[in-house]
Amino acid sequence: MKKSAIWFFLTHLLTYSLTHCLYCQTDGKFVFAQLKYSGNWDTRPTAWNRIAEFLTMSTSVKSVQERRVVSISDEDLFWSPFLVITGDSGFMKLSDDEIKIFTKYLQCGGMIFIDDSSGKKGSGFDKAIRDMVTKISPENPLERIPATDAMLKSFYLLQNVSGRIIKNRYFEGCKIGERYSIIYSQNDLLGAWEKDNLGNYIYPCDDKQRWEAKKMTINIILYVLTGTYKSDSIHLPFIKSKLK
Amino acid sequence: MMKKISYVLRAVIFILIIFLIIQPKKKIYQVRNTPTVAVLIDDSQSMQNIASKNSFSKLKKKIISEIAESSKINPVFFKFSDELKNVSANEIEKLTAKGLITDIIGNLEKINKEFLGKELDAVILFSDGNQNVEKVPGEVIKEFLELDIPIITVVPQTALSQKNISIGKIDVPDVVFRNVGLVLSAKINTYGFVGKKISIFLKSEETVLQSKSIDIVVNGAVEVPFDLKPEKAGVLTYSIEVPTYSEEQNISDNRKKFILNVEPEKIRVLYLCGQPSFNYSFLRNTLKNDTNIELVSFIILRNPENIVPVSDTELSLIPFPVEDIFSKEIFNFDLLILDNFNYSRFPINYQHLANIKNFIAVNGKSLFIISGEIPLTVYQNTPVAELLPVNPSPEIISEKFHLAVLYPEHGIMKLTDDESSNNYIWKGMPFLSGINVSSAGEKSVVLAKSEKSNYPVITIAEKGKGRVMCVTTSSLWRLALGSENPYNYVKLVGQSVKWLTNAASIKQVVIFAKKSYNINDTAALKIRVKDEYFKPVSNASVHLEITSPDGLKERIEVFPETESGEYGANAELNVSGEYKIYVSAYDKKRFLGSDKNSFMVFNVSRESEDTAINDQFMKEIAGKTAGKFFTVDNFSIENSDIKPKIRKSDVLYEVNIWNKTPIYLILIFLLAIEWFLRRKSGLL
Repeated sequence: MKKSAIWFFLTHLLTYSLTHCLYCQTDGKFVFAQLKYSGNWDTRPTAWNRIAEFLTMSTSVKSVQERRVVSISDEDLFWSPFLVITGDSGFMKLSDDEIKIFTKYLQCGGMIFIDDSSGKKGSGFDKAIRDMVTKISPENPLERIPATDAMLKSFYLLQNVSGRIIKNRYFEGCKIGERYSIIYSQNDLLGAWEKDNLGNYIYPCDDKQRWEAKKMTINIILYVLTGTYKSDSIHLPFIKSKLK
Repeated sequence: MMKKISYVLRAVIFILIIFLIIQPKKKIYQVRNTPTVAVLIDDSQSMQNIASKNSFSKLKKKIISEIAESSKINPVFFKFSDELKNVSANEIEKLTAKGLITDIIGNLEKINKEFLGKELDAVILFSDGNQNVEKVPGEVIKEFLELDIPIITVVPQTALSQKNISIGKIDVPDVVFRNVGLVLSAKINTYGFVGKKISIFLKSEETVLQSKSIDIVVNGAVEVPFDLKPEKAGVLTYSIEVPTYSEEQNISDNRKKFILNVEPEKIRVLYLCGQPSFNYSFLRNTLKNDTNIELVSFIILRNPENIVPVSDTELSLIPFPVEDIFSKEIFNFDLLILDNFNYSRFPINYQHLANIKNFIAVNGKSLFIISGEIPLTVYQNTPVAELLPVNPSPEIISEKFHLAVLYPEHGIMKLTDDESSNNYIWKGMPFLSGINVSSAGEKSVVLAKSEKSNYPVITIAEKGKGRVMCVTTSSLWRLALGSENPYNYVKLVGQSVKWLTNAASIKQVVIFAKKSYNINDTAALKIRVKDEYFKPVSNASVHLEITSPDGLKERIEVFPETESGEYGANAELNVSGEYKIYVSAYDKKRFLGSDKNSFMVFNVSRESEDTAINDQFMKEIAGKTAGKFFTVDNFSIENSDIKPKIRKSDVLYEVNIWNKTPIYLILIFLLAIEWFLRRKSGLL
């Protein structure tokens, strides 16, 4: 009894210390939080490690190296303004309380990036996600994000969206205010980053397309952190001349 | 014989009874051989300034020789500027042109209604035609026409043949906002340029903003409209100019300056951020969604040590325009935000930092500085350090903390009007994390500190003419994402900007007026009404009260002007001194806010606004009343064609014969004789 009590205390102390340490690391830094749910939630487990490395090398963004795994009811969700949801087969059915949490998360300024890893149109994940989005953002349904949006020029100047598999030549999103608070890709964007322990890419993809997918990922992160900055009028003449 | 006499008497009595019933009256008509003429002499200051210095003396001599000594008319002399006063012929020579305004229409109305009215045969009006009191002439002029009283107008100009172009009155709106278009109107007076095309320029200092060409069809005044959109707030000087032409009588009146007091329509915020972060994301989004704010932001997306495996053309990055921002553009903003910004990584020199200090302390603008990974110690030994409300240290504590609000009643921290609710909201605020260690600076106010370590988190200070606010954590965004009500974060940011910029445009209810008016002006006041989310309210109930310098309070009617929550009101300013205005607005029964303002009314002459003769106006008065228009040189009573009126209405008096006692006595006497004769004849 005593042993289990000590074990319980130590476990909680360790958890608290780790959590506290996590907060320590996040001051002003970008956090990649991923949603854990019942089902195949972690389809691209190493993607963030590769993204973080590239992000730090190529941009001024300071990021927390470890991804943060959170569940809907986890308080950490509200320490993470950017939430990533991946899946390939299905998505959990949300209770009313969970719908309220997601709705509040969006209303309070949170942003969600959803990446369908299945590479199939109309997959179970796709259907479940569309159903969820209808519930958490009823007033701002999914719409095609135009190629002129700030997301495609937030760092790299991109003409089109990309991904490991190009199922759609567009991303979809829910626009709240002047920016897209939900971004939905069906192109397995994170799959383009996934490598094994020997450094080989796990999922096949054309090199050029993979590179475009990586650029798109960086653009999404910069879009999360800067919003419509690149649509400000001060940038327009520069961007126009570069696109020529 | 007796019978005949009796018949005559009866006939006479019968006639008298008929007269008694119909009561005939005798009218005595007045017969006039010389017409009665009201002679109105404009003695306002502008009469002295017209054409030449002795023009008013010349005019008086003409009046004395042509009218006072004339036997052809019966003149009644009046002098006028703001008031009408009867003067004798002997006083005309002593008249001086000192009146502060010219109210031709108002005084014509007085002549008609209060003085001579229907007795008049004509009016002779001596004036330069510069009506500078806002009155509509239509009804007054029409009444003179209906009464058959011609108005003969005489302008003091000696000769129209002298060539000249002058800028007359320039009409601009009372209230002008930055970046909002307005139409101004300039009166251009021309003589001797018929058939020519002239150019008119609207200038700001020496820069031509707009030019117009007009074809001169007739001599006289032409109104020329210009569109203008002021891009800066404050007191701005513009001018209307016409090139000088040869043979012009006077070239100094080809240019006229005017001043616009431009209100900041939106608060201009320059946001410089050292690196992309959630703090930037939340703050930018909040500022962008605020319709009162115009945001220009620069964020450093790549540092020199970052390696990007593509050419620059594939990146959306733009160069950071250090020189433009810190030498020129900064002064066009109201608020500068420095967020985690390390100036030493850019070619920002000492002078640039001194400009930031001047921007705040001298120009009265504001600074919102946020620290994070970059501590504020980077500014040590620079002019910016003098602006900081805290004494920074390089230490950063990665603690999780609650905010302890020290001044919940301060305009920045007051999230609701109820004190206990406000304290409750702040106590329920989520944890923040990470704090830059600092201590409060001299004369600074710490609004909120870390509950745990007691280090200042939100600190404010007044620096010179400007204001500074410092936030020593980069996790303020948690007040939105971690809070039950994200609007509290929005409100905190909005109130911070409001306090920093001391801006009128972020008030829910705001009233605008010119800083000063002239006596007898009509102040066109503007009111803007917004709800708590700063959305315009177009159907609000708006109450406006004006207190005049003598302490009298008056309720003024307010009318909606546009659908976007703008209202207007007109106030007549008849007393000089300070006027105070107070406005409050309600949406149904919900109080939206109130505002007060004040302005001065000066009893100074507006006669110098326009020193050119408005002969168009004088011709119009003469033409519409069947009168004639003259210049002083060619005026004569003979040519004026003034005739006395003889009309039925000219009844001097009436005689009611039945009011006379002898008539009744005669009637009784005749009846008695007739009764006596019949009795004597034995007819009774």
